[in-house]
Amino acid sequence: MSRLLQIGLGIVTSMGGFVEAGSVSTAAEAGAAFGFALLWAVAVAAAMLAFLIEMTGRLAAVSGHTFAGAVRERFGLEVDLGLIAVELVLDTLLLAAELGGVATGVHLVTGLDFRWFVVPAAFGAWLLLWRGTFGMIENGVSLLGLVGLSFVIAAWRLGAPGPALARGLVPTLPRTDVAHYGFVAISIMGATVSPYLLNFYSSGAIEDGWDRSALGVNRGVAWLGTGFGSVIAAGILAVAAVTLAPRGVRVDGYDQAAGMMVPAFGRWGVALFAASLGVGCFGAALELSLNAAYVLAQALGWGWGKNESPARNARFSLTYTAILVAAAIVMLSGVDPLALTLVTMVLTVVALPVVVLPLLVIMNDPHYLGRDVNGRASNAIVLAIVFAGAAMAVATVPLEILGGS
Amino acid sequence: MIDFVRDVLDKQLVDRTSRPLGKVDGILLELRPGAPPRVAYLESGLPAAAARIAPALVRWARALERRLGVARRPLRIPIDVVADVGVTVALALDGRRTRAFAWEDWLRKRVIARIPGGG
Repeated sequence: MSRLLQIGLGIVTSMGGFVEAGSVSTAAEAGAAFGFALLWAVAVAAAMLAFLIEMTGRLAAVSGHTFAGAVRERFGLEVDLGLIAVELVLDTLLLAAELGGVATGVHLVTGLDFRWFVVPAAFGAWLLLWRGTFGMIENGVSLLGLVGLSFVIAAWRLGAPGPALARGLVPTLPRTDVAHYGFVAISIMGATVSPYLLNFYSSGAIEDGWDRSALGVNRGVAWLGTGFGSVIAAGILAVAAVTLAPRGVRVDGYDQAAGMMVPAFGRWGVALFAASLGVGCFGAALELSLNAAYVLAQALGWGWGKNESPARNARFSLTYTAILVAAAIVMLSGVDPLALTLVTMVLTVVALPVVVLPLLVIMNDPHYLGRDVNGRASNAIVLAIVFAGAAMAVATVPLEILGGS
Repeated sequence: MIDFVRDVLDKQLVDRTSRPLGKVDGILLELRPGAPPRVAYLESGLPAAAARIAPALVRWARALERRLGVARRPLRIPIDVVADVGVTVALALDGRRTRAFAWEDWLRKRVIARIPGGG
């Protein structure tokens, strides 16, 4: 039974992938601009995320190493410092975007300027990390995340057509607006497959005490958890396709996106959208701040873990405190939360090979994995998606910037 | 037989009670006249890590630690207290008697203790 409850780790990780600032806004824009045509991008991103977190979970269960710990050991301090720098910069920018997402959720309900709520959001996340345990965070966020299923209910209520949904799962090129189509596809991948999720998941596996006997659980948790998140993302896309696309609404701010739930739920629509966005971003903010602390502690050999008091692991606790402060400052400096989110997603796709290549080297090293090294198929699939993604990002981003807005 | 660079360098150091003491940041050889060199110490901590990146950083790291009163000397572990090399490098000693927690203790006393609910 307790093994079944481990699904919480998969759900909380996949919510960090699919139900947060970047994913909600890109899924909404995908549906608004291209109807159901980009559903395949959600499916590809889901498969990618599931493959990658299954790997880091397997690494933790078999070798007792987290991803960050294994990178330090396998590649040495010099290489690791570069990776840590990339990861911490991305973490800070993303965390700022998530704090902006939480604050925007409150703004949508109250009508007050979102900037009032950035510091309370950061403080709330910090308080939960300071006082809470890992299980509390994992299960609390998973349970609250169920509100995201309202998108799926909305898609069903609005009668999203089955055949069109099925057609969307097959990649096709649109006749016009190819650059924007490619850009949105890339953004979906960048929003979903965030590097921090890989180390977060493997650290969670260690916090939950996984060993070799958890390998089956790991596979189930990785794929089911990711499935849960991707169904919500597909729901957002479908609702936007039904409600926003026919009216020609483009999502360049959260306020347009928030209207998409109104046809399904009336005056509760905006509140449900705001709650889903707020909860998802809050969960992602917790994961991001924790992960910054995990990465530094595991790379530098400090004590870490969310099940002990802050005084037991002073350096660990101060790291998540510091990144929350830094991210709140970034968000309050006047950047637009959605613009910051978009930039971070593109950076993520470009940085992904730098994170995934070391992971693949480790996952093929019998020194760490013994007989549980990667199969050829999963190596090939992950490599193909990572490089196709980076190539597409390099090709479409300049076009989007030149031709966009 | 142990491959030092693959199996020891950059590994997690733990004490007798599995308390984490940092990473193996350096390995020191002792050169002896008339005898082959032998591995004498493992090094850990900010100055040892800085030495891997740039010599200028070592002076900076030492100065910082001295100025804040964190630690006066780097953490050197005689090779004969290494008890086991596996997922971690286990030492047959009590970590609290070493300088491994100099930064941890400094931050706990100077920062964490001043935040409500930190103790």
